[in-house]
Amino acid sequence: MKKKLQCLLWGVFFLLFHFQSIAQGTAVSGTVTSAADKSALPGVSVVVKGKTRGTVTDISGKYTIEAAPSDVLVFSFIGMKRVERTVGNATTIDVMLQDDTKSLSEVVVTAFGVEQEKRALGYSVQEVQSREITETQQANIVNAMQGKVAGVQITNSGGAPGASAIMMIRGGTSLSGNNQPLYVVDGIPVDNSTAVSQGGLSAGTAPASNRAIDINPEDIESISVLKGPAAAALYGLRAAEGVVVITTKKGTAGKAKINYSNSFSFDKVNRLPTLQSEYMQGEQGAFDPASIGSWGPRFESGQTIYDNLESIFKTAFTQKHDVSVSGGTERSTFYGSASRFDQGGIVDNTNMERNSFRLSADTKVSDKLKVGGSANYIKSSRSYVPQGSASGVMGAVYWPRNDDMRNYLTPEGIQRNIAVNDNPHWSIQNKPITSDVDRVIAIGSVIYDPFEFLNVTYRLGTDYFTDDFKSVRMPGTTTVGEGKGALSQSTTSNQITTSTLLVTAKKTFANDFNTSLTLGNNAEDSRRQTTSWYGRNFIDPDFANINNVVQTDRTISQNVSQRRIVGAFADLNLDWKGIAFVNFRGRNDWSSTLPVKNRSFFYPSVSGSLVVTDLLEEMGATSGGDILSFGKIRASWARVGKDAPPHVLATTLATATNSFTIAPRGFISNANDYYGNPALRPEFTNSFEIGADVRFFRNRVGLDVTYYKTSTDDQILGTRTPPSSGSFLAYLNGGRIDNEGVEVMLNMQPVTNENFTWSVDFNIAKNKATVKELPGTLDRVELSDALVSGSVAQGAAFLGGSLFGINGNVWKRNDAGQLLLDNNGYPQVNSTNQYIGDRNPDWTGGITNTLTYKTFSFSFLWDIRVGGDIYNATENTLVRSGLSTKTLDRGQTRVFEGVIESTGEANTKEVVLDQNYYQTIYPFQGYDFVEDGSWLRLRYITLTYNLPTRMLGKTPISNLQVFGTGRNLLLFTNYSGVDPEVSGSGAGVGGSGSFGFDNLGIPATRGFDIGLRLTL
Amino acid sequence: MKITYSKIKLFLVATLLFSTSCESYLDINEDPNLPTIVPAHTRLVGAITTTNGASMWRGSREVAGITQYASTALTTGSNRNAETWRFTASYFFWQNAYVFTMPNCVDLIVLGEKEGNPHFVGAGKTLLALNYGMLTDQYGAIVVDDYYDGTSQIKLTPKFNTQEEVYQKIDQLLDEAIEAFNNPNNKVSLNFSGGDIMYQGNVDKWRRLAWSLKARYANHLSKKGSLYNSAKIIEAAQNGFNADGMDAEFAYMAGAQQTDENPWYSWGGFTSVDPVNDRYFAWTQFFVDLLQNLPVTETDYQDPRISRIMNPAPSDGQYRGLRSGLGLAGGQGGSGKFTSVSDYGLFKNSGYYTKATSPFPFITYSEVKLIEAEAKLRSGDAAGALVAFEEGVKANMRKLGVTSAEINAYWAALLADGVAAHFSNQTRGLSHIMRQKYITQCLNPETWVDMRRMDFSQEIYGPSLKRPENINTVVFNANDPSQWIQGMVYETNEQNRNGEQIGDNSERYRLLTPLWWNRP
Repeated sequence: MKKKLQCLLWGVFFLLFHFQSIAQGTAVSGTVTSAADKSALPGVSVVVKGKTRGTVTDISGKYTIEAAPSDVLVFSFIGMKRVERTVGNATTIDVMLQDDTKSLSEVVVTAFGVEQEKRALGYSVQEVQSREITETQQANIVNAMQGKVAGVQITNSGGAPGASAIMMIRGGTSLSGNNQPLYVVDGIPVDNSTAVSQGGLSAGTAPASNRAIDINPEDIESISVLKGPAAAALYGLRAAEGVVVITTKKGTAGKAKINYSNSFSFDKVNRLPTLQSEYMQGEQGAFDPASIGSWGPRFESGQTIYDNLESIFKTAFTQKHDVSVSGGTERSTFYGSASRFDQGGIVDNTNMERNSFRLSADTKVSDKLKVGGSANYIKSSRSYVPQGSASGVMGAVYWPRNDDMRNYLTPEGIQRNIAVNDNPHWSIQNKPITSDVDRVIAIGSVIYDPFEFLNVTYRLGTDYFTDDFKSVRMPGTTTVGEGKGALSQSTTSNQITTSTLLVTAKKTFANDFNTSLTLGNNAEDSRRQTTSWYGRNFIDPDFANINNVVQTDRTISQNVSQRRIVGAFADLNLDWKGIAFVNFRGRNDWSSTLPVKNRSFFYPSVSGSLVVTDLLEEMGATSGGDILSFGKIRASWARVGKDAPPHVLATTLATATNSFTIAPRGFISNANDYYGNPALRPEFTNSFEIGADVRFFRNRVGLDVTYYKTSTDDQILGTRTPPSSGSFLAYLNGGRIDNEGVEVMLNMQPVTNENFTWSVDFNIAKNKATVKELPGTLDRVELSDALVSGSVAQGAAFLGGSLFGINGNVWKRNDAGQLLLDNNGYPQVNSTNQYIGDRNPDWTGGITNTLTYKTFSFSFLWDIRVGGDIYNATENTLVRSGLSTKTLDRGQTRVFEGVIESTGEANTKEVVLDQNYYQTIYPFQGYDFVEDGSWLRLRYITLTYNLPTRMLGKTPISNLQVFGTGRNLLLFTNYSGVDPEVSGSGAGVGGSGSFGFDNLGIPATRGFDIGLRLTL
Repeated sequence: MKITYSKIKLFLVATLLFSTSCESYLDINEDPNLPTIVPAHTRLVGAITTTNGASMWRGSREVAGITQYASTALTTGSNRNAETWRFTASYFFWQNAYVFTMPNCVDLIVLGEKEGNPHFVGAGKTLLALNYGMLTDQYGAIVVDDYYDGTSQIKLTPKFNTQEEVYQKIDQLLDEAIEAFNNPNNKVSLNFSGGDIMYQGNVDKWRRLAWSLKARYANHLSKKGSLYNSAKIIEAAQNGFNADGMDAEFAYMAGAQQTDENPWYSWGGFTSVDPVNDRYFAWTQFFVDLLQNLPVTETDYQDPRISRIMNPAPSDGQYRGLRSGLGLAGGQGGSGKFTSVSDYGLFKNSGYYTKATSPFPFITYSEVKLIEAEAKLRSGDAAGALVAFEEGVKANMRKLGVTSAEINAYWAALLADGVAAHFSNQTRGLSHIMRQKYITQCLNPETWVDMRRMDFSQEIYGPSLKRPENINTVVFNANDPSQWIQGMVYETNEQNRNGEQIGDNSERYRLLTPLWWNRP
């Protein structure tokens, strides 16, 4: 029944078009100027309060609108304080708007491009503005938000150009699924997936980019981060982890403006681990030129010690050029941009290029009908090199330091390597990985206002990209079976198409009660198809192409994934005099991924806010006190549903096993896939949030505090099952994750005068994600994609403990905790892994200081992370190779405290800490490799100077700004390895992800940028 | 306005179209990449191959070291763990049976019933019973009742059945299989799409396989007093294989993928360039001795099968084997002599059992006759036992390509050595039967069952049978030669995910505690 109703919604909405419009009153006009410099303000929104009728000011700040004497006009502009004026008998209303940078703007974009008054929101939303995004000089918009948004944890996965960044809002709610928010551009969801195992390579070998990297930061006007399900409910089930709402720049009426900006950057590796320089190549203390280990004799004095690890890094150069043109008439506006970004890497043959073209235009067909659209074409090309293992780029952690690794070719021109690993320098030149993405994001919208009280908006958008991936191992590699060369390729096409219809009716009762009701319909179709092929044994050794291998050396496979979601929703807003607000929302989704009988599910939310200061004023209790200038409390409760991954309701059959099991010669139950579950139900997250927003001293100090608690139960969980169930993996409903946290934002303007302002934005957040229940008798959920080299540790969620745990090798102990030693007195490795650390930070925060003096502006961001363990798998590898400083006590003896397992007697045997111990015993206990990943870093520091207008004189340039930025210049941490901002397998790993695993990836960088921006 | 109206009409049409197609719009969840259901006749081959090359292979890969068929060369590294009894929860026969293999047997049963093809039900039940049998004989209690049933949801914490219950279930499954093979209303032949790589659709042979397995598992209960019924074993054996050419096996394939080859030849750990790095380097001296000495008297007589199973040493043409646990450095039989690679015929690619295309038999006619011989001997029918014994020995020799002249000479030598008289004594008779079974069941994990039932007795297996050197002393008492390995540790995945059901899974308990059928 519900389905039929939803389907009929379409019909009902469009019947409304048949009504005719009614008269609207007299014309009111005026000019809007800035209170600060008395300049005209174009693009200011002027709307009749409680109605959908509105306009924007033109280039000279002028507007004209039809209004009745009883109407109230609302003037709003991003970054300025809102002004309301009753029309009365006036035909001209001039307004001056005051800057409001200190308390963020009063209007934020929430769902579907709808701007909402911030004071009306019953939940926490944080907005990041264009300037704040671009001044970070980050290529990846996800990174541009680092440290700026309370409760949002962003981890870049390393220093390779195009490295993926993980964003998690308020922890995570899913044990095995996606924990990253939905990205929405101008009302249309776009793809921010990160491919894993492209071309069959393991997640840690060639981590892909997160696809939001395709979005040009210069095109962005603002980003709103909707943190909780309450804020996200209107976007439906894909918003369960929050939403990043991106609003792009639009043209404004008036003379066309041309902007040009550029930047030139230099980057270096930020931090490298310390390697021992006392022992040279060899085995068991004796020199051996064939050994990859540094277990030989001591270096003799005067012997050259090579910095092989440093030899793979260089200074990277990056340049960026952006041009945009915008303008328009009162009826039509346009914005066009072109961008070229060419990022070099700190390792040879790594780089990222992004070329983007964007055009958007809006036009008023009539007073009631507005159409608009935008098209964005992006080409992102990335080159990178394998990492995460001995034969990858960081394989230098194995290389003996008496040998110059840079000599990677023999005189005959073939690879010069040691033992079974590729020489990293050879790998950099001969094992290229490339990814070429072509992407189009196109959006069209129709906005129709048949009556004063009614608005109909329809929007259709699509995000389509193809990704051509290629990984080559040239002949001569030591990779088993690929000595004559091999290549893995894949081509992926991915499309998300979304249709959204919104019908909004507004009405004001008794002058004081405003209501607004939106009914909406939303349909989303996403499809991803990947074709992968592999070939080996190049016929011509120099030509890396699938056509260059014989047919029997080729394999090919294809994977298709498709999902459709239809939603219908209602959003009811009630407000009383702009003082008290209540919002009810309900949504029903129908998802293709669930069994037919469980396909439809409903979820509601309710939120409210009360502007206490205005209420007191209204009641006559106060009159706009000088100390407390604004106070608001808010609360919300929301529930959001989530569907299953596509195609997991039935168990698949396969015709292959693995390289150590018989070829089945026919169809067998697919042991490598999840056991299908035809009875899956949707999972739900319930969330509760309360908060307060108070401002003091005429808004010069603002404090916003939020407390929240969410609980996700009956999860759709892809988990491991006991083999005796018949499967290793199965999808099932079960398990519960609770998140609880606090977010505090404080902004201050300690100094504001004509020439000098100083503002401070401070945010701090704490989140604790606890696994409350797991299905069956599981005590943990392990993530195999977050497995580090040597399989010594992996990410796992532990029952009763953290969602972000580390599951690692430990030594065997008895129930009393004593070590159980072997007969010789050495510790033994336990057969099962245990909890050894928690990657979740205790607190995260950021402090942004912005100082402006005349036309100078100086801004810097301190990024703080307190707590959060890191598993240092790089160090673990160094121990095994003998290059770790931990191995300097080699040859010494030790009596391990514990009991001999076979006899039960206390140990008295002295053992030697020799190569065998450091290679087969010591690395297989995790505790010594779990380190505190706390940091304090100067994320960026930027100085800009606007040339005074008089200096530009008669040039066509109306504004010229030059800037210099330093990134990551200071880093304070006790972590012993590389920059602790690490994520071993990149952002593609589901569940709790792979952040907090330092696993032989290209380390993070630091650098500086210089550039200019000018406007014609 | 006119334009607006036509637009509206367009939208209305679109809306109507959408309303009617709303349901089908969402029906796109069927897996586009792999099938989820195919007919039973296309599933039979996978059930057979995985029962052999996943389940039985992983149940014998290490057990061949325990039963001292073969030995590794190096004294370091992990290959030596099996023959020195260093078993942990990392022993993975469990998952290879439960996940890689048995769902295919269960699916065959379910599909056969659904399609009205009882012969597939029979094949599924026979193979499932065999897998349960191999599992319980290494672990004791296993999951049966709560295992995947092909129709309902999988269970997250399956309960374990006692070994006694498992044995009842195996017998019941085989009875049901026989009944299914007897069902005349079968629509699609077992070999409809060429999937019956064992019997090419010959249902009589399948039925005889089920009977043969009934004989094997009933025969395991020799220590269980009233549960042991020799008459039933003899009946089952006689309904089982009754001629050459019925052995439950299929040839592995050469020239295709590596995993189409026999695992003992290549992908099972035998691809090293230097054979000392292979999982097993050479056969053991214990096996060589069995093939060069007659039981009871230990009279020297070279079994003609030795040249069909093993290769002589390249250095001097002699047959030599290693002592379990000592590696190549330990020399022939642990003597310290003959320590170079060329002093030994290699294990891999050496003879009947370890070539690329060698079959890896589940159960053979020879084994069935030797089971019959044991049952008759225990029932007091020594003469009948000897007749079955003779056929069991000769059947294996014929299979290995031994000439009639050699066979007759060998049998004459046995007679001359007093085999007929030996059969009047149960221990001596069993010594003959078990040593022949050891040879005929080469590499089959069934040998470990026999050795445990015989308490690893030197009276049965001869003076050459000794515990390995460098034994796992964390579990086993170095000074107690009567302490032998009795069972396996449940694998780590079961322990971690189903720990409450599994009981004491310590190595000490699991490796030392005799299974139910091995306790009086």
